Amino acid sequence: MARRTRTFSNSFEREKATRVLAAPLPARRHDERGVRPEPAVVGDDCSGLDLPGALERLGGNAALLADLQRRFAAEHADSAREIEAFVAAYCPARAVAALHRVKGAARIVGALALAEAAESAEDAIAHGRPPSLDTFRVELRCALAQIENATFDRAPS
Amino acid sequence: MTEHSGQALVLIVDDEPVNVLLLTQGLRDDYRTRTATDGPSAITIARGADPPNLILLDVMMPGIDGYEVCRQLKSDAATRSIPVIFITSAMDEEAELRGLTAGAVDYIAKPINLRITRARIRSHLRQKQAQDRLAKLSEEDPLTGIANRRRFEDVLAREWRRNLREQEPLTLLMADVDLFKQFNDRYGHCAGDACLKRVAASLALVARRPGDLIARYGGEEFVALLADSTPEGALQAAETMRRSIRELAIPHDASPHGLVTISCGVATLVPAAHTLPANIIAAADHKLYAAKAAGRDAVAV
Repeated sequence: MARRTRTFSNSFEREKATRVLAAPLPARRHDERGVRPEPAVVGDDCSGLDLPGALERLGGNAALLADLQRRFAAEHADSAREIEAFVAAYCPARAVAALHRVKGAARIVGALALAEAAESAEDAIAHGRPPSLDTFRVELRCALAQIENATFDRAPS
Repeated sequence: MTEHSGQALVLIVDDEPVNVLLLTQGLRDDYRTRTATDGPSAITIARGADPPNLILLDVMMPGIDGYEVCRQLKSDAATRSIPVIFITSAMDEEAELRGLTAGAVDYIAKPINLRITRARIRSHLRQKQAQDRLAKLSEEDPLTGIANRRRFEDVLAREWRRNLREQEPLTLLMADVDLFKQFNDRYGHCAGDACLKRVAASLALVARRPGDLIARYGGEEFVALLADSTPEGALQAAETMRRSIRELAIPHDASPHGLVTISCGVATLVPAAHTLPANIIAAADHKLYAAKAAGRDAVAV
C-alpha cells in the first residue's frame, strides 16, 4: 500500500493537539514483571489520525477525545476478525452492520483512513462485490497502534 | 421538562458504544441522558413513566432500524409529540427524506459536531416546550384552570367511541351555579370569577379518579365525565358535588338558600350506533333543568 500523508488545512498543529491530549490520560499499566511494554509500532504506510478535526468537533474537549479513543480501542480491537468471520459465514448483513459501526466510530476518533476503508468494504458487500478487507485490516491496525502510541506518549515518565 | 429535575431527559439510541459515550459525555452538563442500544428498548423507555423530552436516534441498528422506530413512536399518541433527531452517517438525500417522512424533526450527520448538536437539541427542546404550552392552553379554561369545553368535547367523543365499541354505559354530570347572574349583579364580576374558581376547584376534588374529567362547559356551567360509573355511583358523586359547594359557604344574598349552590343533572347512556355524543349532553341538560325546577340546590337523575 502506498504511504499516505495527511496535511491539516487549519492552523491547528498536530504537535499542539497531541500535547493537549496528553494531559488527562493515566499512566499505561506495567506488565506483571513491572516492565512497561513497548509502544505499538506504527508502520510507514499508516495514515495519521486527524486529531485536530476530531478535537474541533468535540469543542476542544481533549479528555473526552482520549476517553473515546480508549473506548474505540476496547470495542474494535477484534473487529477485523469478527467481520472476516461474518463474510466467511455468508452473513453480509452482519458484516455490513459491523463495518458501519466501525466507520462511525473511526470518524469520531479521527481515524479517517479506516473510516474510508470500512465504507469501501461496506459498499462492496452491500452491492454483492467481494470486499477488500486487507485494506480495512491494515487501517484498523494502524488506527489502534496510533491510539495506543498516543496513550503511551501521554503516560508520565 | 420532567418535574423531578430541572433538566430535560434525552434518550440516546445507538448500538455503537463510542457514539453513546460521545453523546452521554457531551450532553451531561446540560441534560439527563438515558441510552438504548436497540429499537424495542427505545420504544419501551419512550412509553415509560419518565419519558424522554427528545430522542437522538441512530438509523442503522440491529433488529428494527431507526426509521421503523420513528414510525412506531409517531403512530402512538403517548410518544407522538417527542421530537426525534436522526444521527447517522447515511447522509444521502433519499435517507434524509426517509427520516423526515418518518416524522423526525431533524437530521444530524456523523461524525457529529458536539456544539452544533447541543445547539440543535436546545432549539428543538425550546420548540417542544412552546408547543406543549400551546397545547395546554388550548385545552385549559384560563379562569378556573380545569379543562375547557374543547377538551371536554374531545374526551367525550373518544369515550363515546370506546363505550360504543364495548357497550358500556357512559355517565355525564352537568352542574350549574344557581342564580349566578344575580350573584354577579349583587357582588360584582370579580367576586363572580372568584366564586367560579372555588366551585371548579371543589368539583375537581370530587371527579378525580383516573379517567374522570371535570370541565367548564361555559359561563357558570360545569360538566363531569365519570369513568366506569354505575348509576348509583354517579348519583353519589353528584350529591357529593352539590354538598361540597354548599360547604364552601359562599354568601349569596340573592339566593333563597343564602349561599352559593349548584343544581346537577345526571345522565347515563350506553352509546348506540344511531346516537351521538350530543345525546348525552342533551339528556344531562334536561335533568339539570328538572333539578332547577325542583327548587335548585338539587340533583336530578
